[in-house]
Amino acid sequence: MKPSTSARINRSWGVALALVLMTLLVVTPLLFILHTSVTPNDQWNVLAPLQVIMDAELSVVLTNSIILGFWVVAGASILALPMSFLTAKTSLARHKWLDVVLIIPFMTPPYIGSMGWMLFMQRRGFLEQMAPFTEELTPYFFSLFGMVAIMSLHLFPFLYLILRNALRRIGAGYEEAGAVYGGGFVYRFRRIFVPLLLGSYAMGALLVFVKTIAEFGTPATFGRKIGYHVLTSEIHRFTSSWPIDFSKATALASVLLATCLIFWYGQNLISRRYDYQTLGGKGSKVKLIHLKGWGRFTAWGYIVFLLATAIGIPYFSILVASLQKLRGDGLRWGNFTLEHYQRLLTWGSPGMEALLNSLGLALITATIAVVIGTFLAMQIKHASRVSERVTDVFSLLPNTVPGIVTVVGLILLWNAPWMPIKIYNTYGMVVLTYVVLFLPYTVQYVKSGYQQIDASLTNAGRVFGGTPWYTFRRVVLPLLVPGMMAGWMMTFTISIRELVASLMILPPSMKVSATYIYAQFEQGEVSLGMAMAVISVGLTTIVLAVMNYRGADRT
Amino acid sequence: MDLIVKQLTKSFGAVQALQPLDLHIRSGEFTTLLGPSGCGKTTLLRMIAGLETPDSGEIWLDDECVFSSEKGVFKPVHKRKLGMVFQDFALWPHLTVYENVAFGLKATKQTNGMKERVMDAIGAVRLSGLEQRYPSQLSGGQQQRVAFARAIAVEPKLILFDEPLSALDALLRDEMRAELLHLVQSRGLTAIYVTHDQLEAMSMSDQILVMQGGKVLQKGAPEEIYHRPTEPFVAKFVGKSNWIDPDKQMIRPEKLRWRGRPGDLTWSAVVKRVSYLGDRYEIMLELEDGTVWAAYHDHRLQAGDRVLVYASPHDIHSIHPIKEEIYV
Repeated sequence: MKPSTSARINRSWGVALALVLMTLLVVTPLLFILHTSVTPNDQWNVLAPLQVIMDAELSVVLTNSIILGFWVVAGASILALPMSFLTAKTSLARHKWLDVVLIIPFMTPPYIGSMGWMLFMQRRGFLEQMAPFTEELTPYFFSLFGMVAIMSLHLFPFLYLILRNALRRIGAGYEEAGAVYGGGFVYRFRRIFVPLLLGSYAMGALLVFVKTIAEFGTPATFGRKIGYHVLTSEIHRFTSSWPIDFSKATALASVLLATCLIFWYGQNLISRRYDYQTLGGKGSKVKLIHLKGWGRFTAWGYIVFLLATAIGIPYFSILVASLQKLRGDGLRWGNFTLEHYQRLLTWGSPGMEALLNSLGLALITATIAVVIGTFLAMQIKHASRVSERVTDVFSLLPNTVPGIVTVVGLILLWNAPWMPIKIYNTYGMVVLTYVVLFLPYTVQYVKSGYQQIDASLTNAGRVFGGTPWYTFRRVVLPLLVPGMMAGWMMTFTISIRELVASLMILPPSMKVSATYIYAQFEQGEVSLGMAMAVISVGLTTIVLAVMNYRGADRT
Repeated sequence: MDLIVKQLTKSFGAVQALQPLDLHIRSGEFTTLLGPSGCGKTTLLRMIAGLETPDSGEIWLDDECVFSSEKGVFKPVHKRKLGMVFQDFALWPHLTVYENVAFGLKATKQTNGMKERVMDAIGAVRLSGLEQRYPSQLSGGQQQRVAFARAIAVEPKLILFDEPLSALDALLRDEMRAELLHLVQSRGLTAIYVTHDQLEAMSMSDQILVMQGGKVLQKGAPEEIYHRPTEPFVAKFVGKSNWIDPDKQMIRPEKLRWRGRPGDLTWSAVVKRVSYLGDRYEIMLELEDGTVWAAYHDHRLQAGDRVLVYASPHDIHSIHPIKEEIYV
């Protein structure tokens, strides 16, 4: 059946509106960065960003970012490879809780994780208090090594999940066939196992690389302390501390943008070349290696080590710091108090104000993002036409591009002298920035829900006499609601703790929980800051747990 | 290659997957392990391949012992030099057709004249010209042929088939069945074939082993299995059976006639249902005692018709299960 003319017009209006919206919100700000950075002195010069960087002796910042990226990929690989092997191929596979627990490091805001590590390792920190002999060693942690360790512990879950899924997909059949046809263990490993895994590994590694060079939280806290400056932290410096230099910030931003896009493109090429349709389901039995004795002991030792460093240490430090009466008194019974929480949660205190600001912003952002995101997802549909594909790419762009780049672009656009809509430095600007940054989550969730809805479902609805509106309301909408809920909660939780956008966009005198934590940690009362960290992480954990629980009976 | 299996057993946890089993397969024979899922046929095949370790017993390939629980012998899979065709084909997706077929030769360093052998195998399954394709670029039937080619390229003395046709659709299955049999026979290979499809078993095999619950119930030529089943289960699993005396006496539907001859036995029945099969009608009959039988007729009968069916007493097959004979 052909769609009626009015339906077709409706549809093209929808896509057109989606495209206009995305161009305005997402694409223009990014183009603005590129345009500003290649036209210093109002003359076109494609290499201008690089020149600005060279002249200002900022090239070290670019190399720092890239070096950091490579080391973190290496670190995350060392952490993720054994773990993914254990849960994919050995009897540990039945411990499903490991998968849930291993998501925690990556759901922990990087700045909070870094603060935990700093409290733990610093001079007279928790480690020295518990084991004084480590005094000699802890200073070595405050180096590139420590930074790589913290970021690897934060980002390895990505690689872990990708590798584990790839390993599980490589059914036992491939290896058995290799053995039947005379391949010994080493030969099978080299000729079957490694090539099949390589594509997934490369994809995961590039993802970790891009996430590393785009990350702000750790460079802004730990990196600052050790004087290791990278693109993101320098962009922030040039836009927020004196002397403010927007031309350098945009130059750095455009270089960061270009680097990320190059690596994304590389990832795309690899996934197209090396992503095999491997066997699944019928006939491909998963043969698990049964761990016994020393093997079992080593495996659990490794898991305990990983969980202790990725989750235990940062959370221990944050929690203890938030509960200490006097930080100088160290770890001692009787030195614990809930006083910081009390002060923080007193009505009218700066902390409470920041927390309420965060909650309010998160509520508004999540609601607007779900409305726009659902609309976009329904325009993208199955991404079969060019206009739909373009909408898809545009709406996911804020997830591809480093957050700080998007924020700089938004500032450039909305702070431009000719801009008639004066929302810069207002509450509205904060909401706009958050919505743009977190739109991709709703789009992704709703889209995957929408794509499950086969045409036959709506056809069946119509065959059994439903009007288009009735079919939408009773068939399509209920299937979209889980995705919308997931999108809403994800946006809500991430908005509560967003640091970089808040630091750069918030109107003067307004604070949110993330900037409060940051400020207290840098030059205030660490215990208050950490109490806020516990509350904001606790709050988001509860929301995510509810979401997981609600999601459990649907899937 | 002669395959000898002695007192082989295997259990998974509390489940006895294979009761003590003896088996002798002679060189050049096509043997089928037939049975419902979970009967132990695939387990037996995988133990012969070396993919599964038996609990006890012995396996001999010609005069070489490849497994013995007593002597502590276990020859690993990759040294047994067998060919195997898997249910899901298990073609390596990152290798081309050529590389897939050549794998067995390369892995065992038989590189002399490798190219000719690989091309010969690919030619034998009629895939010449597709050597550089990847498995994902082939149809299901073509993938199946690559799996055959891979198995014959290594010139194994014994080739194992693990339900190789079950992933294909019905039409393709008939075609591949004939091709597979031709390949095996023309190359003089010894084959063990696992299936739950009685048609496949009957049409291809020299010898069928009907298995159930980890036991071999009957072993014999297809005709023997069909006409002289020794267990009620075999009679029911292979072909259709009309029971005169439940689990003791039965007659195959095609032996029932609509006209009597001297010395015939007679039953009166009511037509319950008629299905047209193209070449004949299948008539479901209900006897006076409520037993339901099947019979064939050239013409359509009407449901509710009262009929008489006849059969010669020679066509009635009495089942004497082996275990009952032991008690007698």
